[in-house]
Amino acid sequence: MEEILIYSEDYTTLCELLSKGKSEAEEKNIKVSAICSEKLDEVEKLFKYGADKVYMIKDLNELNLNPEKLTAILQKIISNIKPIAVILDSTKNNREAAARIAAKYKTGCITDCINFKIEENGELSAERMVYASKAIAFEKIKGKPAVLTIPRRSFKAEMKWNNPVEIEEVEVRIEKTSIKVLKTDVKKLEGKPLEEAEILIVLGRGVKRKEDCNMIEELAELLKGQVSCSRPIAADLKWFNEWVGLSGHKVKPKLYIGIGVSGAIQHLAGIQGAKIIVAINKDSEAPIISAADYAIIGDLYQVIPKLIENLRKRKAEQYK
Amino acid sequence: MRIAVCVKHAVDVSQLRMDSATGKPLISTAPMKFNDLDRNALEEAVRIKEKIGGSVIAITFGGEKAREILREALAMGADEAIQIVNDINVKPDTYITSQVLSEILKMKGPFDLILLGEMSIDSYSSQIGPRISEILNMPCITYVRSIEVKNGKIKAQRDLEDRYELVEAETPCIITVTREINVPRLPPLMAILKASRKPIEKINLSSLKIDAEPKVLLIDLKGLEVKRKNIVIKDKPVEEMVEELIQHLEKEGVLEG
Ligand SMILES: Cc1cc2nc3c(=O)[nH]c(=O)nc-3n(C[C@H](O)[C@H](O)[C@H](O)COP(=O)(O)OP(=O)(O)OC[C@H]3O[C@@H](n4cnc5c(N)ncnc54)[C@H](O)[C@@H]3O)c2cc1C
Ligand SMILES: Nc1ncnc2c1ncn2[C@@H]1O[C@H](COP(=O)(O)O)[C@@H](O)[C@H]1O
Repeated sequence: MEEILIYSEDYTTLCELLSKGKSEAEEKNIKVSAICSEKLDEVEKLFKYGADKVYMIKDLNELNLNPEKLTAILQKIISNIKPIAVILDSTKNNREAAARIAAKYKTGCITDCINFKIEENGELSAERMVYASKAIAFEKIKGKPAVLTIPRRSFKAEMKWNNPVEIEEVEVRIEKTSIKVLKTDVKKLEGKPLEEAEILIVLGRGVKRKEDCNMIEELAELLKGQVSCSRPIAADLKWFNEWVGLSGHKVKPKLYIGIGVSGAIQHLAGIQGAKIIVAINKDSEAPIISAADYAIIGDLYQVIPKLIENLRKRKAEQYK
Repeated sequence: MRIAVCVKHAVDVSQLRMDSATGKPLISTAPMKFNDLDRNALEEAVRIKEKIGGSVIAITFGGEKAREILREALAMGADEAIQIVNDINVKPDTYITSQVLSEILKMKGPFDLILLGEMSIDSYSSQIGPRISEILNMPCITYVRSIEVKNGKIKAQRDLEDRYELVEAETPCIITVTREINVPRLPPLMAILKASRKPIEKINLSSLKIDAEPKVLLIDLKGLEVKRKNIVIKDKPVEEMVEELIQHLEKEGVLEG
């Protein structure tokens, strides 16, 4: 029986990919398998989310699972079961492993797919955003296994199958890797995933000092929204750890407010899913203005305090 | 230290327009530019050379016009430049591009360091670095925001979603860089003039022994144009502008969080 192999170190994502994989594979009589570690407590539930089989890797230390090791594990399983496709969640390390696997088996790989399908002949086709989200490409992969990476929260995890439990233990002995990790600094991540935010207030380099974030936080609190930022605020200044955009989080709030964000194409690529885009910028020529539903042209240091004042007044009146 | 940098002539996505009749992006006539991150990769290579000595060679695979970015690379401090010309009009995917670049790296090698960008701004696949690492059987460090070279060893800081990792590897080694690694220099006019006299080596794709059958086929490309309302509020007292915005948002029903 043909097989599809799925891996994510994140349990929710693993379930999402399994459910999507199973719904695509079911009718074609293709099996869906998951790779997970011994420690994962909820292995049996994976069969309800769509898994037909689980490959249990001994001593899989998720945090230290560098791309070389992951590639070795995948290769061991792939060489045994010869799957038609390998699907990984689109983290940076997994993207590297995906490209390595595709190179090893001389096949095609599509990173960051938003959807995929199994064709009648068993080939995989997928959709992905290209040209900084200005277009969707529909592509088909030749060669076996087809390799895909898919961002988190792309599909719904559905607990609707009753597959019998089938677990195979796999031992992978990994010799020394060529890259040694000397030190790991864990980033403190802010609150819930940005993808789930309903109202998102995003600050950019127009905000001059770190203290000024307090004012933005205050606004977010009034709107019951979440705060995030553009890439330079996180990656250069390190005021935050995550950012919105092509190389950060692709978000889909009902309301996005960009404050002092210029709207570079890579930033805009991450906010196309927003229902309403608001921009507050002193420059009427900034690209975000033409990409917004509503824009105020003004100095954020004047606009934000007034916005806070106005919203406060409204709140107070509601309680009267 | 011999350093190679892979630089791409990429579609300038910010200037990409859609065909008004078909809604499809106008790729073949789109303006092209030096892939942003490859400038960072080249800058880093030149800085390493300036510090510990060696040479930098810039390599690109693309159409005729890709030589424009090689001129720029030479002006920024590359010593040599190689252009692989797609003379047989293959539709390059990451499978083909990585083979082509690997062939040249083998031909012109050995190199101690091979630098690339973390991704290209138009295709955004992040595959070329890791694929070359498999083909050439060399270690690869991806998503690097700082590099230190000492006694033939590389220390690099990787920027991952939830952590930074300081890693160490021996040379030869492949590194893909992020935009935070440096601010690329703007070459002075003198350097640009001098660079225009440096030769660019041209190699035809047809002369390389590679498998030129793509593994990813493009079936269709659809433009995505989200229509926005574009209501601009300006030239009024701040209180008024704020009130106007809030009324709009209330009507949209997006204010109650
Ligand atoms: C490969 C690649 C990937 C990238 N990925 C991302 C990504 O995922 N996300 C991302 O955000 N960026 C990304 N970038 C970076 C992107 O190109 C821009 O550099 C970045 O988005 C700019 O951030 P910014 O808008 O905060 O800053 P700037 O571009 O500096 O804009 C600041 C804005 O603030 C306005 N301003 C200044 N002062 C005030 C004031 N007092 N009141 C009101 N407005 C004011 C200015 O008019 C300006 O428009 C990427 C770049 C590359 C090359
Ligand atoms: N045609 C090309 N010529 C030279 N280098 C390339 C080419 N395509 C991609 N690269 C390199 O590979 C990196 C990653 O590109 P990609 O895998 O397309 O996201 C780029 O930043 C470049 O360094």
